[in-house]
Amino acid sequence: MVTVKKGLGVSLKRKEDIRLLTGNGQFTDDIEKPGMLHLAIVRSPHAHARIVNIDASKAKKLPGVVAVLTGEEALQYSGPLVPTINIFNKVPEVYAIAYKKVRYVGEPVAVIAAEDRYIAEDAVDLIEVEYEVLPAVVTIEDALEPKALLYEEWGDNKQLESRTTIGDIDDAFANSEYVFEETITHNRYTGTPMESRVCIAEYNPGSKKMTVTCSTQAPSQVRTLIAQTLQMPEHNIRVIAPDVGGGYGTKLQANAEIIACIMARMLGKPVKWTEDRVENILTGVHSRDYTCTVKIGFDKDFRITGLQAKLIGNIGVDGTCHAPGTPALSVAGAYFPGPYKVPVYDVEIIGVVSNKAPYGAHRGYGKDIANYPIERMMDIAARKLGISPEELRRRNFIKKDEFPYQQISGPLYDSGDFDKLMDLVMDKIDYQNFKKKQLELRKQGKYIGLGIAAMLEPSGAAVFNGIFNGYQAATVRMTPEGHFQVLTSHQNIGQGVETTIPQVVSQVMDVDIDDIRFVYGDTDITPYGLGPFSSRGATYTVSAVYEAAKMLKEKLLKIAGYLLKEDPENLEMANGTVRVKGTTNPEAAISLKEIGNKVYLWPGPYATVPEGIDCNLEATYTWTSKVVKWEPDEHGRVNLYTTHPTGVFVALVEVDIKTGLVKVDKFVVSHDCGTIINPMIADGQIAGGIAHGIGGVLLEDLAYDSNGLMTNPDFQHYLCPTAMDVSDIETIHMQSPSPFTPLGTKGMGEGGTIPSPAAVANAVEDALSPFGVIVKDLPITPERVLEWIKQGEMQNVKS
Amino acid sequence: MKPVKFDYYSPKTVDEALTLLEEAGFDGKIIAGGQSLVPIMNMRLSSPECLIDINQLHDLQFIEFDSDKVKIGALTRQAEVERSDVVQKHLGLLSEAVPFIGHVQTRNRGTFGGSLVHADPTAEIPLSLMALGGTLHIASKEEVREVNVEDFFITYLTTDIMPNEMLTEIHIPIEQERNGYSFYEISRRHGDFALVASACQLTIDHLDRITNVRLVLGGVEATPLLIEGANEWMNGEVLSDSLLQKVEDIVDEMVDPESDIHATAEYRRHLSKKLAVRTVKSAYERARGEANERS
Repeated sequence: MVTVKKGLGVSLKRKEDIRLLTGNGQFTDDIEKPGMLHLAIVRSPHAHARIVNIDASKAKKLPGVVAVLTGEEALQYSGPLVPTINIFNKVPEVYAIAYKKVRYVGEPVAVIAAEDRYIAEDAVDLIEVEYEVLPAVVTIEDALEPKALLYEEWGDNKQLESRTTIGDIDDAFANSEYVFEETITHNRYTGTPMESRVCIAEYNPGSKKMTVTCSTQAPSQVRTLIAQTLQMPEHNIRVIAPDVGGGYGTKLQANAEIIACIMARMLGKPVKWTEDRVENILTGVHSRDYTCTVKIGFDKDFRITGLQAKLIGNIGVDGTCHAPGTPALSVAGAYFPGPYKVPVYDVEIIGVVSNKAPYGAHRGYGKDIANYPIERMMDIAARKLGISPEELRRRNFIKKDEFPYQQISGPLYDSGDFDKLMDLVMDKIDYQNFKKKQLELRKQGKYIGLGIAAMLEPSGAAVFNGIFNGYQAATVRMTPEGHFQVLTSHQNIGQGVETTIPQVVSQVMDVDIDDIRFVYGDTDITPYGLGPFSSRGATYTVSAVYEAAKMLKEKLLKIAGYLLKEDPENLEMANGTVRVKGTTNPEAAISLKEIGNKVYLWPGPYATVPEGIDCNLEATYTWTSKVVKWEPDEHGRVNLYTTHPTGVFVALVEVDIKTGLVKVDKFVVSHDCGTIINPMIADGQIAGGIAHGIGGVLLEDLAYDSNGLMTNPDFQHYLCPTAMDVSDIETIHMQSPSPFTPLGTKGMGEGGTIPSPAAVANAVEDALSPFGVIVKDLPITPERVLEWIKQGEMQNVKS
Repeated sequence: MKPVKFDYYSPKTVDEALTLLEEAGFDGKIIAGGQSLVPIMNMRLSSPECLIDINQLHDLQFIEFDSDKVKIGALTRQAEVERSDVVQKHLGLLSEAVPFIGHVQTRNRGTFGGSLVHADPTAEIPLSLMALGGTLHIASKEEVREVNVEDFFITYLTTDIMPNEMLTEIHIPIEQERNGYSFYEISRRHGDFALVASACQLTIDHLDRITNVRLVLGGVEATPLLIEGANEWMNGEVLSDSLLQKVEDIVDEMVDPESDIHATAEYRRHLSKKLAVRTVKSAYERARGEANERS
């Protein structure tokens, strides 16, 4: 049987996997250039200090060392890092190599170019840097005090401050039957790509061209950042991104990459910088690390009367120039209401800078911040109200027939059905039976728990001011042999685009996906556009590719009509041919191969292409969203996201009350991302996201001591979950196509990460409800579990 | 993440390796599986001037049954121990403990002897050997000496081996009486260094009375901690709740754990008590033939 490899909704195996699984992938570090030098970076051991003096004389004398450059010397080649994104936040003056002052442990203070990496690292130890140590700002309290100022010119340590109030919140609470308030915190963690960052920079002093090969999510955007930071003409810069071993948001900036560019420009020789794992964990980018006070009112029917949130994020040294992190807090502010109907809303956001590593993007980008405190709060409130967490959510869900739904905080939700999602997941679990089993097991000293978290995943951000402004250009091209190339700036970072994008084209052209190649990762080849961030692929890139394919199809039908002497309106594409609709007569059909051949080669365009049609068998379409709204209303509300996948996630856990260990037995997920392109890949995105969420809630914690030293910058101490630590995952899909994209697709790369921490935390509380346990600081370590059991028991005794 | 420059030798015989060791003195370091050494060299926490790679010494790679004991060559891979029928049949404790070491990939490279000489106090093989008892054969140019496992571990990452010496093989006695074993460890993730680990090997008589017990805890001291004197109060006893309570009390008295980023000393103390009870109970049940698979 021939497997038909076409179209949407088919679980095709990934085209890219043969290459990757047989060791034929090529990552940046696999690439060698003749005469290439290797870089090592001298990094600050202090969280906050003035650089008094740098003595590189010993290092320069070491055989094999070619050059040493300090931050001050780098000023000849580069300006400060330019902002990547800016939603009304302060912009610091910071450099790729620290100048005058260091502000986090691991900040680059000098760079060495040597014949190999071994020598370069030997030289690191020979560079003597004299520091004047300043007080370290580590916690939110340190920042607000302020214990010291990171940027003296600011006068405080706040990079971002905003408040939005819609309705009278005091009045709403005063008229509520019930009002609850909790302060909920989240640990700092990160995206941890399998491949750390790597950059090879080459500069030709003759042509003045710079070629930068790097592990990035966003080649076009990186090109712009490099041009602006190095103050070089952008048309002379080419950015190449080969295979990229994961991004998860952490590869959306050019900061350390700038160092390689500076060295290449200075030396006129190719240089390579390969970030090691310690550097990757130490210098970020990091995320989460916030405290959020949530106040929520309910009426007598348990319907939300008002929601107030005060969010303070510890964004480390900066989240604008080093990396695009700070606006994640604003995204949280727009999405705290989540899947619920909220009549009155008040949100205050503060982003404080501290002497921790830069804040950047990481799977979730503030949508996770919007989710965790609220989904925790729903469980806490349900318990106090004596209603099931399922029922409390159902009472407040936006209903199916209310979509598109204008959320009070600004966003316009496209489509969904939360009640149905809840039905699907609860049926699968058999909730009543679970509760029975839970009681039986408790008698045997075993504690199992079930935690629910509803999920809303805004996807495809279009953010004003900067490189994340939300459009996509795609070119679809037919070759003379009738096959297709699709060209965009959408980088393959492991999300399966070499398969899913051809599926979209094959849906239009009705050809096998093996006859379609997705071309990406080279700014000299692909249209200028944006890379994968904000789960935008299935919103923007898919839509652009779909529209470009339709344009090309129209052109091909016109040419085929001319060749077949038929009205193009009567023609259709089927199995790699154009034919008269419904016919099987070979006389009334022409293959794409024949069309390509006739137009381009034998005899050529003058005999085959009708007047008024250009003979270039390609089409470019730039897709923009119709619903993005940048003009703020009287409350300052905007709409940045076009599509919103939805879901209900349930975690089933077992807690060992003697050791405090939490084991996640299973995740059951109902999920709706509109039209699904490839169900297998969609499942993989959800599973990977859950692994990320389990990591954040149970294991991963970027720990700093009171001096701002990170105590765990390696994989022995920073604990990422392995396959052994991730539960079974069962996913049920439903499809509510988005009315705002041509195919009804929605981006869905972050939905697994967003709700899974709350689901696990809620499940742990459910398991330990006989002890009255309240989950507080994250991650949920076994020691904390034992401590909460003890506290809960003491509380029980008192009451 | 690159090591400092070092000289590298790959001897073909034990003699050749011992000669190189003698010449290198304190600057020399043996590398076998490299699962601990390579990371610490790459992190520049250790910078030996001379690496002596013993991976060609195939004579040191064996598992042999020899009437009342099992002999294991120092270069035997942990994965080979894990899969060995001889070990499974006669040294059940080891079979139970070895799968806790790292991951399949690390066990394929890591060696039995390497784990012993590295002497991490949380490591599974040192703990198990301490519970099983046995002798370590240590060779130098001059002699081969035998050291009882009780005398082998000196302190954290330090053993009785001198710079000119090399561990060649380990002899482990086979228990002839009715016996049971158990190994438990707690770590944050599967494959991590244990926060606390516990190994127990015990024998019982025909009336189910304990005749000999060796209970060892890891992660609570600078070396694997053998609960000495346990025989004095456990021998002749049938397992009971009060005996288990005594185990818990004695362990509480004897352990002296430290705090680190993964766990506080108090939590390690708590775990060591709980695990000690679990292992003794499970080993006893096994000895009585109540449970081949532990609960």
